[in-house]
Amino acid sequence: MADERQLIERYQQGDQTAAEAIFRLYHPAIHSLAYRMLGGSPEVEDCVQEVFLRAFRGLKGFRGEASLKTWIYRIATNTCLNYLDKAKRRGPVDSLDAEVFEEGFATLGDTLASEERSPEDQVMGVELEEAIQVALDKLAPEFRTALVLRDVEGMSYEEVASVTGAALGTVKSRIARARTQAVRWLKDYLK
Amino acid sequence: MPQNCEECRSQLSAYADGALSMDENRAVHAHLIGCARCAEELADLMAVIHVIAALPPVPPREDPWAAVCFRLRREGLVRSRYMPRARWVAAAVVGGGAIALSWNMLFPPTPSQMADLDTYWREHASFSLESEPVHMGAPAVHAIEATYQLQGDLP
Repeated sequence: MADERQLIERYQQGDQTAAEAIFRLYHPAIHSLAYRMLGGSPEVEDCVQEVFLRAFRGLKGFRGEASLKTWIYRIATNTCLNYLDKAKRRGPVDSLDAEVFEEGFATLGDTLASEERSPEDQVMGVELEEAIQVALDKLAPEFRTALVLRDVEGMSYEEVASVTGAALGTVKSRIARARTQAVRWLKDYLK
Repeated sequence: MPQNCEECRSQLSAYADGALSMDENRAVHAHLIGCARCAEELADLMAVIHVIAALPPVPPREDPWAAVCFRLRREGLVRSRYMPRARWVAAAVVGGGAIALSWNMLFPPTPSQMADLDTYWREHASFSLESEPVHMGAPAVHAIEATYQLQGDLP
């Protein structure tokens, strides 16, 4: 995108207004991504700030090999994964994710079934949104990343591969497995 | 080649995205026509894809630009008043001239320096003293005279 290239060049010369324009362009999307990746934790805002600081530091040497969008998303997903990793090391809450994934699909289904929601309670809207976020939080980070980039952000398989640095086949497989899990967890909400 | 349910289900996600080859797509399609369970699984998958895609964007509660900008400025990555290079050069030339002029006004040459300058001109200039004001330019001579008058050293 020509405008984007101009913004990058102006930023590389130290133009603060260009930096702000780039920030305004991507801030809402990166905030949403961080929110979905970190499950609305209080660290979302810190994470978003760190994403942009890293991005602007790196942007000084940006040569445009990848699109700015792919490049910023790559920094954002890596930063989110770092936060998830830190959180996992800090407390037992996220370690449950790994256990859930290792236990297999049957146990995962049981996990959600244990919530015992009556059909009347299963209303669409906020409750469904919360259920989706809970499902995302339960996915292992690499599966969550693939699903969020593909289904929430609407990226193509190729873009997801470029952002995550994974092979195309791996991306397809991760998305398929993540969706299969999500179907099991969310099935009751969809009836 | 006819598919079994396991093969079909392993490809449902890519099928839903239209990411299969023509042959793979045809095989999955053929299986779905004859298998109600796999067709139901596809319907569930499509429903989940749909609701996840319909998640609303989460608007930021804060605007962290001020904090980000502060860090960028502190690290010298951006300047608050940005000027393109050409303007920097022009500003430097004008600024330099202004500084030189101010310096001359604040610290005018001493009489001995002026005498040296006078000697220099006598030795190197090809014109006569009578024509000096014309060659130096009247404003320059007036400036020199004004300097001497200010310092009370006018001969």
